[in-house]
Amino acid sequence: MAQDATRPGPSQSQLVQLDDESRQWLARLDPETPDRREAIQALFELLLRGARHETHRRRASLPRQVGDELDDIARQAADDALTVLLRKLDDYRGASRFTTWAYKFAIFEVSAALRREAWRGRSITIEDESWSRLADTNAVDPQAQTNARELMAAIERTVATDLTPRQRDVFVAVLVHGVPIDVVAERHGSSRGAVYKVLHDARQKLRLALAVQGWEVGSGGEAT
Amino acid sequence: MNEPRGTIGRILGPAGPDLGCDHSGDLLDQFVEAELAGLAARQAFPEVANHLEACPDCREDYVALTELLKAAGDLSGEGSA
Repeated sequence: MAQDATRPGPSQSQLVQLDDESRQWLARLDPETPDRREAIQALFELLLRGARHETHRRRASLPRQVGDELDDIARQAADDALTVLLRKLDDYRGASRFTTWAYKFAIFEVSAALRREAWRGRSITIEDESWSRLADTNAVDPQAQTNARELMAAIERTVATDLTPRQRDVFVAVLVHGVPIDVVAERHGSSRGAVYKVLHDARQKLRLALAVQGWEVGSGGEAT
Repeated sequence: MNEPRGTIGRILGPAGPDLGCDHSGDLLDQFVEAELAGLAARQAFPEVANHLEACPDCREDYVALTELLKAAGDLSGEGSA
């Protein structure tokens, strides 16, 4: 389990707005409280239950080799979440229940770990740009289907010509091949936020280029 | 939270403002609690909603936290304060 953090907890003035359970958690996690060690153990157990719930929920969609390691993954995620949570305890302002706030860190850790494990050993082959499998099935009438096909072809061309190599790599990996952003980030030694920024900029550039080409694309991506 | 509409919608992402992963993550607990309480979370946190529509990883975390909180009653026990 993670080492006990030594930073001071939130001030008492922060506790008045909290529900009873959240106030009790903060009181028990206060560095001055004698049973803090027990509270941290209870918090770890809460995080572990959250992490295990998620590994169980996603078990069927994970490769078989990951399935054998789910409890280890959940334990490690709970441990990592506990470390992050204790470091951020001063930031908790009671905007949500303490347990919701805590579960969030368990989900962040276990979800990222499951993505990485699911892609462990798999290569991201961006040269094989499988655009053809991205046929849009939402359009029902023939004219809308034709529009969607032509817009998809315009998107493919524009991705090839207008995006930077880095933008194209991220765009194709995430949106064409379905590689999780966390996995792209891990392999580039980057972070989810930084890779997402590349993707966001690529989309902005793509929307502008499509507009220049005469495409009017709605907020949800429909051609108008 | 709205799902992206169709393949092209998923590829292009929503057109509105986007908080990015870190700031959306900061607000995710409030967003999910509001939504589960039947409040207008999308109106209260439009930039979070836009980001969840645009970012597949954050959307997966959103679904995971939502499902966890729905099941949290069954998970409560010896770990409570």
